[in-house]
Amino acid sequence: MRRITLPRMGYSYIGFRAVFDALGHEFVEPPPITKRTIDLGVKYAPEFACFPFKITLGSLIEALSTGKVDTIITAGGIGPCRYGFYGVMYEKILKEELGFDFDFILLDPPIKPYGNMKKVWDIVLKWKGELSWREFILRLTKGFKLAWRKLKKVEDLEALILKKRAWVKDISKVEDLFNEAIRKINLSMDLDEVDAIYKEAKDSIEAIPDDRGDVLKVGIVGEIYTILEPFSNLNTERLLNERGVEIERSVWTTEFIEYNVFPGLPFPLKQMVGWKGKDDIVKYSKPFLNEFVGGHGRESVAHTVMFKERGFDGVVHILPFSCMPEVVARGILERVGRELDFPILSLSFDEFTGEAGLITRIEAFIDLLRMRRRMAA
Amino acid sequence: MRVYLGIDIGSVSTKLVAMSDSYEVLSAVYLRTAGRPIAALLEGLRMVEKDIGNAEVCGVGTTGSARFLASVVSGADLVKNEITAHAVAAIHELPDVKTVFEIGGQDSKIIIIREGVVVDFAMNTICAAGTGSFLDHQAQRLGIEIERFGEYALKSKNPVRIAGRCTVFAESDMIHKQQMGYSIEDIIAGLCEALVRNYLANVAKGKDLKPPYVFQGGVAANLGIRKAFEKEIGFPVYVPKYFHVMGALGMAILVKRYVEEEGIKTSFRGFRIVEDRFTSKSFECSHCPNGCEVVVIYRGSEPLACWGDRCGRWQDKFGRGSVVGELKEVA
Repeated sequence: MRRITLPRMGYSYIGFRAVFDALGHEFVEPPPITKRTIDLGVKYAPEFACFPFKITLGSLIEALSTGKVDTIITAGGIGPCRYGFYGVMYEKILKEELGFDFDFILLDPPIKPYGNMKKVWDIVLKWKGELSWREFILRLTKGFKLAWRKLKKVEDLEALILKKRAWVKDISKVEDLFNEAIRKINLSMDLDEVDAIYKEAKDSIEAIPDDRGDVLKVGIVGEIYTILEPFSNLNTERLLNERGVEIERSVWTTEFIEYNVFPGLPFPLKQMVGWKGKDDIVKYSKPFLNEFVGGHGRESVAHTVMFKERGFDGVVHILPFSCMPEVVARGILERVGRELDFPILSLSFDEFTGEAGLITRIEAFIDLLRMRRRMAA
Repeated sequence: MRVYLGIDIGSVSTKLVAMSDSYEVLSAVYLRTAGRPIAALLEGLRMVEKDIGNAEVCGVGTTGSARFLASVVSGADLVKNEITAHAVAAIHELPDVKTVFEIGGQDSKIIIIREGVVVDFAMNTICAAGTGSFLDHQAQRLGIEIERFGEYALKSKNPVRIAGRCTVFAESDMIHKQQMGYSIEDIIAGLCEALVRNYLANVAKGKDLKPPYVFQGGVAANLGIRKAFEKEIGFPVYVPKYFHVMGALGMAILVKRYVEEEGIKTSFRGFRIVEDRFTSKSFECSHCPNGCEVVVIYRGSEPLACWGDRCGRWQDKFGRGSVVGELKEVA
């Protein structure tokens, strides 16, 4: 049995927990991201590393410091941007610089022309542990199924509160119901139970009467980590919600997994999981951006255009300071905004970002959107 | 007479405007915040009261980085970000304005307006190069009053080229040019041009600049910067009469509209508050490793508001009145 943890990113740990619990390993939940996490990451990461790297490094240091962890699992062995360095960097800093002793499992996209089958095999053996092959396959299947369902349901609830919070004055009621449901889903080991918890939470959140009007609709695009981990963006989504703006995210953990795993699957399997490819991204990012620029740069552009077509009031673009793909996207989004007459606010975050400037920008952006609505009416 | 009060408390300066029902500015106060926003606000109110006598204040609006603090202390009806406030004032001054340059003490903004509506804006993000406090600092270093900075710049025939990318480089480059023997006038004019270039390259990057241009904020007083803008963009730049208090003027206009539209009675605490003792205390919350520094504002011993907690633990409960007791103990 291993005691496993991984860097925290939003609620993704819920999925990993389901898999490792099913395999009989002990999953150590990464502690919530706090200022201390960021301080630790900033202290030990290279100064010019990405902000998400600093946060996740801090998160791993906190988890290792508890002494309850012997294995770290993380993605980021190859990557479309500096993310590709995360794995090696974690290992180097945590082992060589800080002297932690642990087993490091790096998850690469499994099957690619340059993929290393030997590595995949080693990981399988580590996860299998003492289990018989039959038992391992059964548990793994069950674990993945449960993890996927949990992640999907948690994301559905997140999507729900990102809308609902904009419509009610006392958002703590919505958040209490949400947090309780997340806690229960995380602990549940049964597919039907997960569905039931989801249904109950969804119904009771939807039943809260709306007591605000004139709600704006804004789409979120940008870098996945900074979007999914609220602490890293100073809770921008909540700041928007509180000011009467409902939000739709364009990036999610499950989608990230699909994008990274499904394209590598052999053809029949691709059909089975219903992978449709990235045709829409390619289509909608034209003619503004016709190349892959790393990370989610192209997605940011395409989703912005899609939000415009769907009649949203505007888009908020969230990126970590110095994130190469998103910096490219930001430049292009300025043109998208001008040509499509569509308001876009780019917000970049790092350990120095101050809340005062952020709130000023957000409020000015909301004023701008409301004014446009009034003029259009 | 009905009067509307706009308050703009920035990092460097505190601005107050009292405006009549017919949009006439009755009082415009500009003073240094000097790190004590509450004291500056009370001092400002005292000065406004002198100007307007016993006219009836029908609405108060606050903006600037201390807008929440100012709102709590004064009992404001409307709190707005400084971008909207500045845009409203600029549109009021010049209804067909298309571009607003605003340079204040710590930040600089650009606001793009089309047909009287804000369509785009930006604020400086990282570097304070080109903002008022930097100019202040350089004036001090050169032993020139900041008020006469522009005068010197206009005397220059041959502005030197100064690296304006960042304050540190600009300063060392300036010293270098001084030591090389360039005249003070040429250096100051060069600095003005460098700051304008820096502003246009960073804050205004990618923005659709179109005339007419309005230039406001404390730095607009500086003739050298004004001239550098005109040289760089090739159009005249209009500086409104109340350029130094535009944020406060914008708030006075906004709160007038707001009070009239909603038909509300102002919650202004009255000028007598200048006699009260307002204090702020802060403590480190120990409920999680964030260790947020929570600030509580008191009037006498009564807590008025609190903020600074990331999770909202203190703010939310304060809203429901359940932590007031706890906060009293902290005091």
